[in-house]
Amino acid sequence: MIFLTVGTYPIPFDRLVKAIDTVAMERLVEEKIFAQIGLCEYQPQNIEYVEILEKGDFDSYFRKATSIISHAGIGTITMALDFNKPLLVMPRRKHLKEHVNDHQVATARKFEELGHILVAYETEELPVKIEELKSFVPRKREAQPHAVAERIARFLNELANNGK
Amino acid sequence: MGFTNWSIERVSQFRSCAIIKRDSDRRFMLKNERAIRICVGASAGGHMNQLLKLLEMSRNWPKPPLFCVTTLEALAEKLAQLGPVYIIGECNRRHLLKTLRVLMRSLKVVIKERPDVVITTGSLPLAMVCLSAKLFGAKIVWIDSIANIERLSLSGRMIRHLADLFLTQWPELAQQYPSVEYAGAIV
Repeated sequence: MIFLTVGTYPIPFDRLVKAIDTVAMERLVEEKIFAQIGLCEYQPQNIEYVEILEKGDFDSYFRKATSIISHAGIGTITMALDFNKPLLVMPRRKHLKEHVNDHQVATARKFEELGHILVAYETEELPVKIEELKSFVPRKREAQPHAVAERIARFLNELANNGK
Repeated sequence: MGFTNWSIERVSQFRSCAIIKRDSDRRFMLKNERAIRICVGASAGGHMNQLLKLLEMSRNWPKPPLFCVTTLEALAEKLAQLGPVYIIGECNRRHLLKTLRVLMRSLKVVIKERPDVVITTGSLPLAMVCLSAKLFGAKIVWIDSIANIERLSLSGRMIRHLADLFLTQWPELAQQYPSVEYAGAIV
């Protein structure tokens, strides 16, 4: 199963859902596609979908999926890296009113450069990238959550010691 | 660290109503007979993923978070294990009215819980929480989302001026702004 998610951001992302619905219609993938479409107004005809999943259900679809297609939201990107899932993203664009700015393009480009994800910047690139996704092996990411937590611990301790 | 002269008794595991006693600094004791009240918060989605990752590493904080603020009901169940969860709703810069409504809800939460510190990974709804909490004298720890690579988020740029600790997850960004620190990436 391929899991499609456009995130929980309160602006629809019909362009991606529509494009993937078309991919399903044209039978470009053999696998079943399941989608969380969020606030999208477009109703897919060729794929199963829900508006929103509870976090627990979302995680279990994510885990079951062989690969993920999504907007270039950092939540989905880091989750895919955590679960070691091949991920293809299409960034939401400001000029199409899909987000308040174009930071998703920068995010997509950065994580693509680092070998973590595949990116389709336009819907036309989707079929080719979906083909690539079948054999894509994401590069593991090294993060330092402990160092950040440690810095905050230092701040909290100083705060407590300074009498607030 | 100065943490050794504290003794902590945890009364309840989830409510974290610990009693903190300190040998020195009576002033602090009088002002803060209650434990340091930590509020954690994040918008649903990537912001929340980053917050949860951070919290997994938070065992060395002087206190566990007392309550949590987020934007979507769908997350409440998962977060309930952290303590009380407040849902303040979504907003973005395009909808002033929604943003004001979120600000009002934030104020309500802050007045009820009176946090000493707000620790958040953003975004705009949580900036409203920071704003509200700052009005009541809370300290603000803002960790700008990893999604902001070329510049800080709009909320981040706003909150930077009232934050007491401001972290970015990209070293290049820390160099661009004074008072912005890089301590590593959460994700």
